[in-house]
Amino acid sequence: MRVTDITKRTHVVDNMQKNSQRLKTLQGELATGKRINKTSDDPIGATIVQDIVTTISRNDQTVKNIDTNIAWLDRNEIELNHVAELMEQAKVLALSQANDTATLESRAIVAQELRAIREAMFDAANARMGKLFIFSGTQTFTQPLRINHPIQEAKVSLTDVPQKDVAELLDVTQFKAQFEEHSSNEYRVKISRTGAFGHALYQVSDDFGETWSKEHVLLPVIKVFNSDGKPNDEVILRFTNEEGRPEHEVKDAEGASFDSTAEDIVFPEGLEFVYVPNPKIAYDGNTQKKEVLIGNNITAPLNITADELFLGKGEDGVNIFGVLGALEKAMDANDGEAVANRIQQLDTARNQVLQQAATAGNTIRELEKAKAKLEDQVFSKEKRLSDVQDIDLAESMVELNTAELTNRTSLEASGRLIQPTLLEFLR
Amino acid sequence: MPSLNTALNIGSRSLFTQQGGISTAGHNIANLNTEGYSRQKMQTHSEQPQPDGTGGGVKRGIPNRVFDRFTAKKIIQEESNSAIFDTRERFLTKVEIVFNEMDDAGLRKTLNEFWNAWSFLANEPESDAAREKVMDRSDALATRFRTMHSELRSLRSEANSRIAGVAAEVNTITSQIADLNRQISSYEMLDRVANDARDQRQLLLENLAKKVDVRWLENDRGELKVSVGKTGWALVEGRKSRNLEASSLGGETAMYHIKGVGENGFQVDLTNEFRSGELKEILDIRDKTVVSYMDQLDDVASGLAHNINRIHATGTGLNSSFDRIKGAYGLNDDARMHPLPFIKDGIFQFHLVDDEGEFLSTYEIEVQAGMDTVYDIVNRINETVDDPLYFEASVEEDGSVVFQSGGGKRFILGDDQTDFTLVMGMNGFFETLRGAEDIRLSDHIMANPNNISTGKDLVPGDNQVALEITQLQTKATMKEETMTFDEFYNGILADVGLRIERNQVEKEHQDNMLAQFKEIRDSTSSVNMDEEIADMIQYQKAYEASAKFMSTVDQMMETVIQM
Repeated sequence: MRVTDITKRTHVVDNMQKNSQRLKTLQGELATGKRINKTSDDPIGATIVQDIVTTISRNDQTVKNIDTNIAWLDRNEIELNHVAELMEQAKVLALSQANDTATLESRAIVAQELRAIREAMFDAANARMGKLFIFSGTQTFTQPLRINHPIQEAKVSLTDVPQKDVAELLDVTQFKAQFEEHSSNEYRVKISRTGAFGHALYQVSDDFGETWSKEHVLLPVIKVFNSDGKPNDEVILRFTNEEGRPEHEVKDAEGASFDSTAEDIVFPEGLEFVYVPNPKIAYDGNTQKKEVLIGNNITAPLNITADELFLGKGEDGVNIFGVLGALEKAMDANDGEAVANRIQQLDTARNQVLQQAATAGNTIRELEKAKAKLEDQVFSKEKRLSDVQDIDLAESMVELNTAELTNRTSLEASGRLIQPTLLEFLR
Repeated sequence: MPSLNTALNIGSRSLFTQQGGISTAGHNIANLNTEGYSRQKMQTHSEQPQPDGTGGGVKRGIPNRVFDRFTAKKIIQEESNSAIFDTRERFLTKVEIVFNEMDDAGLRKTLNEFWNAWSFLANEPESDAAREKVMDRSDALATRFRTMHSELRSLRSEANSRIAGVAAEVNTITSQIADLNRQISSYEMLDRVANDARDQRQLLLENLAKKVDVRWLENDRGELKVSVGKTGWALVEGRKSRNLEASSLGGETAMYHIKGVGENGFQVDLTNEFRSGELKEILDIRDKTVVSYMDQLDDVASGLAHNINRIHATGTGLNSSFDRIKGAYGLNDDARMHPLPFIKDGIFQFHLVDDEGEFLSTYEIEVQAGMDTVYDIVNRINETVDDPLYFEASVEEDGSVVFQSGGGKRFILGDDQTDFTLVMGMNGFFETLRGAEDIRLSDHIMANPNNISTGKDLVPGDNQVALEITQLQTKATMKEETMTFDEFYNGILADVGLRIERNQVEKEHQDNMLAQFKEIRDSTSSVNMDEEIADMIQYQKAYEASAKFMSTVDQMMETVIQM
């Protein structure tokens, strides 16, 4: 083909362009150290890079979260260990007073100490991390445990009364009774002889009706007796009418000034009042477990609630405050046998605490494992990221040298070839 | 018998012819660098022999244009195709800048930070810092969406104004072609040479082909008829050219249509007529490519807003009870009278609470999709509550739903199987009607980050709502629940990248092809200086020889005279 000045120039310019392009690309890659500087450099690679960056960034955040959660659980563990120690102390104290060598005085002193332990435990249960209560479930702004005051109403049942009598008798709602103070047991109060106040007899059971106490005379305000016949001084029963007013004004719980001629209610035989337990310590948190992310769509439950830890709301749970309270009472009453009977319960309660501590410990280990896994993943992803987007420095330098050489050679060749014309050789 | 005069004549014609050759070589050298110039070749013929059989000398012809019609035609066609790739590259590179994810300000990075903020909040729902972070990152995300959308929109309007520019350039070129048509036909009618005008016209035709696809035909007067588009609308006919006009149908912002303006002002819409050239590609970019990216970006933004709002609407934040919620979206008069769209059968709940967040009462409203209008539902709410002092629902002037509580009571929204709260934009996190274009954080979130829903029923440590929102990052929610947001957005990124990559390959191929055709053309038509110098020397020598011949004849005449 014919060669002309324009075709020569076009060739030179085209080649210069190509070489310059190559040099520019290499220069750009070397300057950033990256093979992919815009999506079109490698569209698929670029999206892989995006995914890797996202994974790394998400893992970093999850690791940060896990660190916070481990700190939270560490705080839990401290409180749990503290509570376990308190339980241990209580047990040592109980053991020391269970034998016959203990005296009224020593038991009174120990009762004091037990009170201090109970208070310390109450404080531990209401421990906070920052502004958050740690044992309230997800009600983190609410103090989990509080001393309970409300009075719980009784349920009335008429199971033992023949049905036809019920119809003839009074409306069930007429029989209203309330607990005052607290009870950790369910009590059943059964009318064993029909009649009005002062005439009717009743029996009490604290074991769901298995055994019953001796018969007592029913008064408007009475103390509840245990099945072994001892009055339970925490629980007082008060009968009211539908409006919630006591049927009879009574000054003395023993009923000395009771006037039996007033509009009496006749209590039918077999009428039962069932009192749901109303613990002294009430739980105001909730039972919700806070699930936290420990990996991609994997969550773990984080918190322990005071409910399951202290009040024994789990399976076979014990109310630790109930146990301690009973022990304290036994000490005050100088009742060695009762003290000895509570030691078994103390062990159960202590195990309950240790079990929760173990759960917290397990969760910490689980979180640490998850964290290690996430960090490993970040490490391998970072390597992969480098594989995809970084240049091989040595290779790129060799390429740059080659490109440079090509460029120089081409420029030199062009310079030599484009210069001479026939003119220079004339004359 | 031939006279010496005849010989003198031969000499003088020879001188004249060689001089013409020199001129032609000079003309060629002078136009060595002129774009579109075709070298010319002096035509010479030997004269008819004289009666005695001796030669009659040389006859000078006209300078011929060395020109390959076929290659020229091919070049013009390929110029139109090359223009497509050039234009596409120019605009796609700009689209790529909008979707630039390789630096720190990309949408994907903003999204990552957005999800991380939610993850932080899900882990610590009581934390003010986490709430501030979610608010900040969400605002950044919404802003990023809007920025990208407006960048794409300005790319569209850039394409739009370029369309007007191209139309104007086409008009300039066609009027020049019409001028040259006139020049060429009038020259050639007088048997004058119009080589240079033809070169110019050819060059103009090439430039025109870069703008629009052209077909052309030369008539017997040497005039080109140039037509454009599928139906062949004439741009140049003889000595007249017809203009393209970029006209927007309505208002300032409207997009241009390309119209052909015929005689008597008669207009033809040519917008969809073009088959190749810059104009066709810019129209495609403006109306298809960029629009499709805008749509996909809108899909991401509204998908995100929709999925988050659905979860967010049923949750509560820290002390985030309301005494008034106004839905973000209003129904027009017509929609109010028809069954509410996008809702589902089921019930939705709300709870009345006191100042402390203690629950007072819970209401469940049953909704029948495809049956209930917004008024039906609002009336049912009011009938269920039946206490307008404490709680009342209403439909506002603007068609939005308002829940209002009073008498010292407040309320929160509960579970919603019906999407009623979502559809009406109540207690949402993002607000958007059109997607990326107008996505923003809801006012009540902006006003107080405690209103960001993290759990249910005002429980401060409850993180289930925040957790569910966090997990949206890895949940398939887009494209009929087959893709995560990241995957869907990756699809857009890869599409931009792959288009550019493919275009680069095709462009290179096309450029090579065009370059080869041009080389063929240049090798035929362009000037080689050495050749011209050689020619010049040749003509010079011939001129010298002719002069020598004439002086010889002159001497001969002298001899004759002195005889």
